[in-house]
Amino acid sequence: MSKKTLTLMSKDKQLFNIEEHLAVQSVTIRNMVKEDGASSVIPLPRVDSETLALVIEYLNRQQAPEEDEDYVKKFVDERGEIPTLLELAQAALDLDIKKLMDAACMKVADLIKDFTLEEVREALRIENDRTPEEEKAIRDEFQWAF
Amino acid sequence: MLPCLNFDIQVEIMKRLPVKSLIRFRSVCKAWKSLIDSSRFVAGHNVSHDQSEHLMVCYEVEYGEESKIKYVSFVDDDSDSFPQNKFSPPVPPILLSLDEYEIIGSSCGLVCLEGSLQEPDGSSKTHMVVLWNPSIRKSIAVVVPNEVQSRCYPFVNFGVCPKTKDPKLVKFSSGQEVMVFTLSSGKWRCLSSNLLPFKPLLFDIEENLQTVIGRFLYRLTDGGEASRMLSFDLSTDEFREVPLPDSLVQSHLGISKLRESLVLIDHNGRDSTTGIYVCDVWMMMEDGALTKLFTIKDIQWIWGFKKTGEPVVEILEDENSTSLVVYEPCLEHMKDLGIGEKGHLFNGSFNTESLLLLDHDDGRVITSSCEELNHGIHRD
Repeated sequence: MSKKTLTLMSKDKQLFNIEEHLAVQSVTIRNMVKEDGASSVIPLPRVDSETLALVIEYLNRQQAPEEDEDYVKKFVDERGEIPTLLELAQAALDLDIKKLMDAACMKVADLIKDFTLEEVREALRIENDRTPEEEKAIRDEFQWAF
Repeated sequence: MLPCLNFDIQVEIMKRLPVKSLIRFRSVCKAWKSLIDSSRFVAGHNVSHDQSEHLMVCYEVEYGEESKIKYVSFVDDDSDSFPQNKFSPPVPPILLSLDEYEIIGSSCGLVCLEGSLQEPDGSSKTHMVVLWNPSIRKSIAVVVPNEVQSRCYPFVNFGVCPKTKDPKLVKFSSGQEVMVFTLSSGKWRCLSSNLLPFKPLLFDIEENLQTVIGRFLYRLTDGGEASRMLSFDLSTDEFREVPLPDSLVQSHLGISKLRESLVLIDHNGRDSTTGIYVCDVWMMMEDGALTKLFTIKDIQWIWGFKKTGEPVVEILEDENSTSLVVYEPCLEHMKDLGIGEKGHLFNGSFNTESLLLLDHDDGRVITSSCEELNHGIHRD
């Protein structure tokens, strides 16, 4: 009996094939398969094709369970650019692939931990919603940390 | 322009940031501050990944007639750089007003110290416990009820419930009464001494004899003739006796932990060939069986273990001074932490980092009295 294959479709309509038993590491996909027996194509309208290619590469890994932790760490380390990691983290969150989400967020945290406030806002696309005076008041509560 | 990053992802990243970054990043935006300050985040932070550990050391430096207590915290970061990576947290003002205080133990980022506060007129002393989070530089004090005159402290043990992140104090008194304080309630509450598996008659006051592993607080006691071990479940307030092997009950024992395992330190071991006193270090397995880790000679006391397993050990330099070293059991090599020459060592303990006390006012003193005694049948 041949292994069953699923087709995933990215936001930009690219198609990716993956064996079902590997795809269901994603809890989201597992639930979809359970619900409707996984019809022909599973659309992932929030994941772009570059990120989906990475997710597929991760799901296709052939690692012994005891090496898995190291593998996922190395996997995100090799993609150390913050924008890529954020896309990967978002996809892993949407698809409910816990280990990948953990590792991607851990890596981002590690990269930004010594950033200035402005660098954090830029890296994570956050708008500063305080006036300089308000910001100073918050800083002054823990002046020693700056 | 890319759209804003999903807040769920921001939260996942925040959960994995170290304490000092979070303290700074409260200023990133309003949403970050309210999340970081929320009691749920404070309690949940740092549970999902490797925590960085610190070894906090308390020592006294003499300047002529004057002496000053200092603290230094070494970061246990798995690397060869230990002990270079260190910082000196400022001593909380409340501690400076206490005399004869010492570290009881630490748990979940908090260091617990106990001492007494002399009333200005010298009439009486107030027994006090200070909970200090050196990573965020906040501390609060808790007044320990009654038995002020007793010289038999430390009777108080300390641990943080890993589920609720609620700091707890357990107080044993000579009248066999047990009292429990939780920071969330701000109150002391009596438990019936009937809950104790045995009557802990005496407590050795010389050394730090408690350690917290998971939800259990372990305490060595001198139960009359021999050493006995008590465990206290921080989530259910239940006491149990942890049986010690016969070979150890007559010994001069210390207690510690290596990663998440209980370690017993027998200071009365004998070298089988020379007959010289040695210190045997045993690890307790899950089934209660003991495995000998190593034997070490000529030491004063084991202060704790690095994550990599090497003990931090106090050794005697000469009659008047001791120093602190990292001992490598395989190589039988000692690496000096460089504090001994600076002053007189007091005590210290290993600890993790946390945000606990972030939602409390720094320097607060909790003076609440005890709730009614209700013989242990307490319903919340």
